[in-house]
Amino acid sequence: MKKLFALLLAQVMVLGMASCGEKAGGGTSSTGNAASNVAAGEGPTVTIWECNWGGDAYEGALKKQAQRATDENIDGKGIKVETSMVAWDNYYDTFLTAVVSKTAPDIACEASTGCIQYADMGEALDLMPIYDAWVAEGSPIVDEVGQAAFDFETFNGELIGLPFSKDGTGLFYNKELFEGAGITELPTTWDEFMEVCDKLLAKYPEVVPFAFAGSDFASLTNVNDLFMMSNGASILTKDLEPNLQSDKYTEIMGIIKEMYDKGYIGRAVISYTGDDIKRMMNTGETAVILTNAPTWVAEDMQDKIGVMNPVKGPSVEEPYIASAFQAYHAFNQTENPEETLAVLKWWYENNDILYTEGGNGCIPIRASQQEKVMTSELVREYANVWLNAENSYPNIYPVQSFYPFHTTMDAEGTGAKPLNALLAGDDYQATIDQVCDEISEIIEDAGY
Amino acid sequence: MLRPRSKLESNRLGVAMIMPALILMLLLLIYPLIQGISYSFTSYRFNRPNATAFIGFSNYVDIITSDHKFYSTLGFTFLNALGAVLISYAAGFAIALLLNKKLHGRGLFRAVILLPWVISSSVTATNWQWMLNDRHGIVNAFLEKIGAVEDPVLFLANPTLAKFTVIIVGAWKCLPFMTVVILAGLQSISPDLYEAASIDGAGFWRSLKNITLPGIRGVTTMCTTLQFIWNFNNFENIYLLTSGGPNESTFTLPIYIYFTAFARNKIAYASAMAVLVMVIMMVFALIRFRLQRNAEE
Repeated sequence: MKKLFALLLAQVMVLGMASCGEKAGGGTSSTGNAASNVAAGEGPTVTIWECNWGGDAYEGALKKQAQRATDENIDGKGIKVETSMVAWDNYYDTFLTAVVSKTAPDIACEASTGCIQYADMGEALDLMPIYDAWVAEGSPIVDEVGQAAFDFETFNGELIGLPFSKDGTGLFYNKELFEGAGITELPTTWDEFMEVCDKLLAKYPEVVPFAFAGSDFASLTNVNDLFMMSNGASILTKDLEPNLQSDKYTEIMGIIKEMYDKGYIGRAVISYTGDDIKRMMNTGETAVILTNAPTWVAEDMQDKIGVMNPVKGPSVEEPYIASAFQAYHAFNQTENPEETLAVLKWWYENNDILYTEGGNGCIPIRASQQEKVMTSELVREYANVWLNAENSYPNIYPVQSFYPFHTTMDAEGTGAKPLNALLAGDDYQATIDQVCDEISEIIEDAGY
Repeated sequence: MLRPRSKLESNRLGVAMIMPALILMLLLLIYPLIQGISYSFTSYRFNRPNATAFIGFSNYVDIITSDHKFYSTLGFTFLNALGAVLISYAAGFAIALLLNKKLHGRGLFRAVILLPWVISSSVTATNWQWMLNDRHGIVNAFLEKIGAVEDPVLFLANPTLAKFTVIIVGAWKCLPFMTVVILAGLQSISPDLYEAASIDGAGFWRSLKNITLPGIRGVTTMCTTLQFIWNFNNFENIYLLTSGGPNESTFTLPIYIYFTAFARNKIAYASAMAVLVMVIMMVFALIRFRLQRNAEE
């Protein structure tokens, strides 16, 4: 009897381990031959992993959208849509590990660079059927998005991403603090910006004149892009050579150093998160911040925060503005490619809720969607001044199309390391040489 | 002589009972270990899985002969582990001595001391970030209030201070384990020894030196060795607090290995580093226990 009990117990434990082998993100697989007119949610499962583009409410909006997609019974196939939200902190290794271990989701929405890396690894699902369907339907989406954006997401003749938004950073200021310091005109150059900071510091010694998030590589990369491109500098040349030793880059780093030494930049920015600086702005602890679209501005601060125009460096006539296309992409590991494409098409056409309820901080690429979801005047102003400006370029400028190793550089913030060193009070010039060697190594490892 | 049938059956039953746990252990510990070691002899990269080739000891040679970052990171990893262990041992010993006395509310204190251990690392990291913030952290507010500092201390933004900060936070995390283990050791010392020493005129310090410290030598070796290894290999405490910054000043080997594997996609090279770390820890543990055995003999 004792022996029988022990064997039963052992069996239960083994069966328990076996049941842990399901694909992450849930998902019962289907044969791929599900018949149409299947009841909603009774067919194959399509999983979507999306990074947190909004704030606290984003995950709820994703789940709601997923339920709507399931209830919609897309193509009558009873597709069940499940979502998982991925934190930005370790988004790169989360997706990479999943892809390498063959447990990738069907659809992904992450940093703009994700599409190209996985396409280069042969893991991207060709999304051209969606584009062809839109063309056949005469959908306005094709013209609204624009051929340039579709071409940007094309690799080896395949459409590897569906660009749905433009993402970037901007400068935002506290109107009351500016008024109190007697600042009547917004700066257009970094020299004028420093004069403004000087006035702010003189009037409000306890207020941090200028703050940005520097505690993680993703945020610091965005900061680095804004500064660099304001002076026409770049991490790489058009021929994919390291370009951090250029005069323009040295010049802008000198300007940042001057701002840091004079106390215009918060001394602890390297430890600030995005939430820290937004809270500081909302509470009046800082006068200017560099961050993404102002969907985070508190209700009672909407009239008190303004959008600053882009500031240019000494070596350019007009500042270049860094932006990025954010796109959905899919993996060809999917067991249900047709259903994946169907869900992605529907998701793309119906994702307003991710803005209106989720607080997605990107700006929709389509003008018609901008009209619907951008209800804040502040957000509209930001979009017009920064992202829709004529001199807004993808942050891989001056390179025209994505290169696969950009993802590696993005993941560890390679291009932002000199800025990282400067803000830590270390020798950033020594870091520039070191980073150029690292970039050369990355390029060589990528086979370029 | 044949063993009784029931003893044989008992042995078989024992094996059957431990088999599921053994299989789980093999899958979760041994299999990844063997796979990691095998990767270290190849050129495997996540983004180029089809270009993997056997390269022998090349990764190890590259690490030992030309990876300066490995050595600088190794240095801070040692310093971090040693600092956390020394500070937590000293504090844990003092607290254990107090908790060994008949204090009112002793049970409550013993429960409270476990808090750093039971709270998850992500929660403690967030709380430490908030407490050490230069603008609205409670630590800076207190220091400024008592006049100890004029300007906020950049605990997490200054590279040198950040090193001390992560060591202190690491020590705080180790404190419960040290306290509990040392307390157990103290309670195993017979009170008769202290009574006899007292009769012979020995005071607190002589009793401490001649009875207490020798009496807990075994647990001291065990807990300091274990905590050193755990702190050496710890990833989440520092990564969640500083991500290895500012400017990689708090990079430890586990964080460097992590970035090498998942940001640079160099999983084989990272595996080689991990194997080297494992070897270093094994040598350390061997030396430590050998020294202890020699001291006891």
